Amino acid sequence: MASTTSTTAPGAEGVLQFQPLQSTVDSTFWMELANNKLEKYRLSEEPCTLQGYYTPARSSAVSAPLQLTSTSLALDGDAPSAAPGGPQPYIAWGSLYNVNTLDRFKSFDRERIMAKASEEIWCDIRSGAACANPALLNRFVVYTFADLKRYSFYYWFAFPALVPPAPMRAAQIGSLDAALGADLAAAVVQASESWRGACTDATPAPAWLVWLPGTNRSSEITASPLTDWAALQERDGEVILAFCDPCNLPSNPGWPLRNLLLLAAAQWGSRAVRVVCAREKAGRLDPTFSLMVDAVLPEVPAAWPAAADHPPSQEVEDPAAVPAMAVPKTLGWEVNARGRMGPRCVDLGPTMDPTQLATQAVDLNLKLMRWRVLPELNTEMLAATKCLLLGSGTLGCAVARTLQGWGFRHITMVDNGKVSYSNPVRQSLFEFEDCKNGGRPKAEAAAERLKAIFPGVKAAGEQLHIPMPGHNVSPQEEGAVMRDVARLEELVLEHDAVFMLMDTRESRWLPTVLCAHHEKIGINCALGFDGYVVMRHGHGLSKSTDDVAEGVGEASCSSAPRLGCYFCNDVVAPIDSTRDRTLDQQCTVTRPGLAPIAGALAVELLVTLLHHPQGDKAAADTASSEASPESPLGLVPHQIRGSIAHLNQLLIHGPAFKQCTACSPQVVQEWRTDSQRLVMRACNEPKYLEDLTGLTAMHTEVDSAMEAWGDEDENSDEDDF
Amino acid sequence: METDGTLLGPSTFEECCALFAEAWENTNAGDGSVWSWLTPSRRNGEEHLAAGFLVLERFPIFSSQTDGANRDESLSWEREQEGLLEEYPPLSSRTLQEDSAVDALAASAHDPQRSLKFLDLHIVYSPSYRVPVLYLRCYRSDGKELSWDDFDGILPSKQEKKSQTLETFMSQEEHPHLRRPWFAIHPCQTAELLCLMHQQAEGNFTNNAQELLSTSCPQSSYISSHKTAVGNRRSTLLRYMLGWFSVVGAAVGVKLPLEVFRQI
Ligand SMILES: [Zn+2]
Repeated sequence: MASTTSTTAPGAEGVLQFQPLQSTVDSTFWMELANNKLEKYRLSEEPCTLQGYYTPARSSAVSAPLQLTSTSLALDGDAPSAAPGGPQPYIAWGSLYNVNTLDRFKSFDRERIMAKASEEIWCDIRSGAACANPALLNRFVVYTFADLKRYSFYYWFAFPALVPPAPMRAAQIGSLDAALGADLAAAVVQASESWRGACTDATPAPAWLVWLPGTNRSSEITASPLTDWAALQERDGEVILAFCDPCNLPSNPGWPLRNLLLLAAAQWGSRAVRVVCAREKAGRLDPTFSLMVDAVLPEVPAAWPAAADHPPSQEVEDPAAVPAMAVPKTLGWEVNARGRMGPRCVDLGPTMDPTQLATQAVDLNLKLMRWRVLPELNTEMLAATKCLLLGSGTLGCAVARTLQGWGFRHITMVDNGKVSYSNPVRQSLFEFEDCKNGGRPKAEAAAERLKAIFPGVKAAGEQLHIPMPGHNVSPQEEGAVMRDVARLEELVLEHDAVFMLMDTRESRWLPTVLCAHHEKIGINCALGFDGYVVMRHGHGLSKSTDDVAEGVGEASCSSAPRLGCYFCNDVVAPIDSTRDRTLDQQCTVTRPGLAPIAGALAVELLVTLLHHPQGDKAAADTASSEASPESPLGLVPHQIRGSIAHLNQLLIHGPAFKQCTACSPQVVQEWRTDSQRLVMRACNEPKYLEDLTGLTAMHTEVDSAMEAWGDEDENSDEDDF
Repeated sequence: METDGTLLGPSTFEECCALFAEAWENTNAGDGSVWSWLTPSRRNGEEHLAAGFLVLERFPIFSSQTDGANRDESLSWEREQEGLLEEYPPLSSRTLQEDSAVDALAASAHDPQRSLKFLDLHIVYSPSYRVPVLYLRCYRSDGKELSWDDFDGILPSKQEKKSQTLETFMSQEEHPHLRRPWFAIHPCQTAELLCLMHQQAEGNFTNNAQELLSTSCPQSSYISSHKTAVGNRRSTLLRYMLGWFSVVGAAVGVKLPLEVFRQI
């Protein structure tokens, strides 16, 4: 394997080594190909004409590639269209073979298209067409498969180079001014530039001749087309071959010289030729960067190649398919990004897929918040935190939207209602259409809308009825109710944070028990007419320690007392609050600005809590902790009570109540012992929870417990739904 | 002169761009890459934009083989697919022969071309800040654009892990002319960037360039105070552009050679 880059390698003494062309495809080309595939080619696999662009090497660090852009496909054999910006590039003509499936791509007969291109090149050399138009020597082929579902493109380029009867050799290689002297080199460059400047063709010829006057140096150095070769031989002087060289290396010419030298050997019978490899600096041909190669060429007889040299793949049964003349062997398949022989693959999803574009933009937005304001912000953690929203009404919609704003990616909406005509004006995830025909299930409609707003979210909707204490369950209903209980428990287990956003007080009971049992973060949010309460539940009761046995009103493992839940300040068990109300009273009667405020606060509370080093075991911050909050995002209070009428907001905290009907060890222990018995008795026996927790028997303790809520104001207009 | 202290009007911006592009090309600052002025047809509602913007396309940059982007790339889905396709169909004898052709330069393991990426830089006029804004995108030779995370190990300010890194200044914004999301060095941070430059001056600039730029802080009102002669105007505008670009350009790894400051 000739993995060497040096001309001094054993066995390769003096062999002229060419740097292969390298393809560069602009993303606009792939977008254009995708459009054409959808609107023009459809299922056709007919080849189409391409124009590729290349320039002389302009940077000493990197060779000039063959470039495809959106304009490469804009024609089909017509005049070349506008090329990309900068000085006019050279054009190479290509054939694009786009296939319809990956399997077709894998089994594509690439040797056939290579053979076809090399035959065309060889015919053009032998016929003299390539002499008149040297761009024909730079034909290329590419075959592609556009996976438009994945926005991925597979492709393989070949830059066909006909293999001469024997390797070409270099007697000498060096920079142009070293070989000719500065003055002569400058004159050669000058002549080449003015010849190119005078060229009016849309596609400048990538190869030309430079004539140096002989012994009598009175004549001027001139540049002229390849077709002048024979005429120039008659004059006293030297004819030098020049070409646009995309290669940047100091001792190798670029790929386009291969076919050009073969033309010189085959058509002009040259056995030795001097070549200028024209390269640019600062927009002009540069005599120091450009090379001079003294090439030694093999003999190419008129009858070469013999039919025996024919590549086997072209020996087909059908004699008509055999080309009119034998064609030399060809090489030129491009290596892939790993440097091996094989096709390339590019995934343009991040550039072309609108969903991925939206995801990146949302991520970046949050990262900017981190970089500019909050270095501690852990956006990855928020994206990974799974949120369960119990209730998909005004609060559920407000919470979900704010979660999306923070970059939460897992949101499950739960509700058992349907969208009604009064909902959309207050519930930001619904529209009029959702209300028709009896209304769509709210949870499902809300989840769908979350995905419509941002397709990067993993949103699900679940229609579920949550059993409530005091709402009687008949023996016939028991099975169905327990299935709902089991499903709710599964949902709680699958998520990290549970938002309780329902419109009845007692529907929050079971989720509160489940959060305490499974140690999930519980966030509760309730609205009055013009007041709200947003609170986090104290952390759950660990199954591994003896929290339950000890009774955890006091500190267990940390110095901070466990905080209370939504029911901790109740001295009565939750009962059916809807029973004695008219339908109107069951509807949410709140000031419309309240739900967005409270919903947003609930999410902000969760985000701040998640950044607290102690998480949901964090002690309750009060207004006095303002100076040095432990969470980088600010205070983590236990409860926020606010009034829109008084435009005030209070931070309140209270420990877990030992006789709480939802989060106390007695209730959690009973759940762990027999969850069905607990739920059924709570639903059917009004006094059961009070008996279980000792409320009934320990009425006197209630007063002292209430005193613990010392700083709580008499916010009696706060109501629950 | 339609400048207001350090702020540019749209037509002065165009003038600045022409001077900058000329100085760049005269000194081959881009090693062959040159700026061109693009004038897209203006749509309704774009009257406040400058008539065009300055474009440097396909500016080659190299990333080291050990950086994060390349590590990720070798594990990417794309490279995996390519690995699968190399084995299917089995290489023909011709391809094997091609692989060992004596006269084709084989890609070497340390081929710099392999870790080559390209930058497109656009200098766009910001009507709200009345300053030039640098927009950029970076892509591989197969056309794939680099995401924010891929910039790791490519752009110098992310490599150096300075306290004030590029991400402080760079964001994704809609390109005002192309109406697509591009990365941009946000103009509101230009002053901070200049301060950062002065801190890092030893690393990036010689004292000479520093001196040439010493009067070019955009916070000073030197533009309006140099209104006198035509020659002064030219050097004032050029100094402004070079001062600005020496900061934002360095942030994305495009440094100005010293000679370019002699064009002032
Ligand atoms: Zn409780």
